[in-house]
Amino acid sequence: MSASLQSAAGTQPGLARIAGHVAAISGEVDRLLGIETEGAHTRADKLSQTLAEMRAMASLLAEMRAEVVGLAPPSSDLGDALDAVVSETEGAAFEILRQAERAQAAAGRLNRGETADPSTDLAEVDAAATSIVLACAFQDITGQRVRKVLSTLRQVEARVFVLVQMLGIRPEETQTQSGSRDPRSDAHLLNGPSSAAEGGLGQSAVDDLFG
Amino acid sequence: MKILVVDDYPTMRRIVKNLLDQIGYKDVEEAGNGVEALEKIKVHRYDLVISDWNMEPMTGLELLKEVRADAGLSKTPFIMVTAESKTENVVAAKQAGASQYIVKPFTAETLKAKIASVVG
Repeated sequence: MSASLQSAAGTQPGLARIAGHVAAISGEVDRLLGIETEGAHTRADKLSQTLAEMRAMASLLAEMRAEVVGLAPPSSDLGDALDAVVSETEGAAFEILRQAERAQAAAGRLNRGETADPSTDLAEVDAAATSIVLACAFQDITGQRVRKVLSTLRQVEARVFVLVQMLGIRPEETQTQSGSRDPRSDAHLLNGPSSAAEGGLGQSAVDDLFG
Repeated sequence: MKILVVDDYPTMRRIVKNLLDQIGYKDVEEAGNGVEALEKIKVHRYDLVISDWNMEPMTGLELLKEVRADAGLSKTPFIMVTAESKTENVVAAKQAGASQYIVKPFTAETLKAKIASVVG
């Protein structure tokens, strides 16, 4: 196994199995190299057959290596980019809430007639609204980050698909071996947000179910 | 009325608290997951629990089942507020004893109406 493949397998656990396949093929090549041929008649045929198999395996190994190398994302900051999105959206939401509460407080004072100078509280509401508008700029920044991550994920997905086909892995194998089990008793019910097309219900449909 | 808001996202807890404040409920406490919530519920008595579903280490559904299984707490009104909106989720929550079920994102009117329907 090449040093780069060993390194890839070490840094990405998902590649460990591929590395195992490569090792198995290497072992097969070693076994073929040790084949004892029998009889002068068949020796040339067997050698020819062995060489053809070795060439096929070498070719497969080269293809797999290229795919594994291609699996490495162009940049290794995908997780950081998504962390930044979570952090930026949370920060923006807090800022918007803070400004909304500032406007609510000023509006409350105006409603209750507790303000000496109404123009001060009106200016407060106006300033809060402007801050909310500015805080919404997070969508542009986070949108760009998410689009970049999506683009990389699509590249990796396409290469994984090629590798899975190359190795002849059946879909049921990938399902049974993926990830560790969620210990929560209702893990099978944690679907996350669902659109109507995905079977998600609106509030009125939920109310109907609740009777 | 004493209310416990349970959600792993501080933003959502703040949104719900803000809406509750607008409705007129000022005595509101928070918990970040089911385990934390259950500890609080056992110590303090709440008149209403408003809980998210998908949290770790204990989910809102697991919390609901714990509350319903405790004779001293079983009558506590419990509103599930969650992005889980499939039929199987709503049915499971109803079977576990949820008082009401609100799908995120929701409106202030929905929250107000559901609270009124469970606490009168």
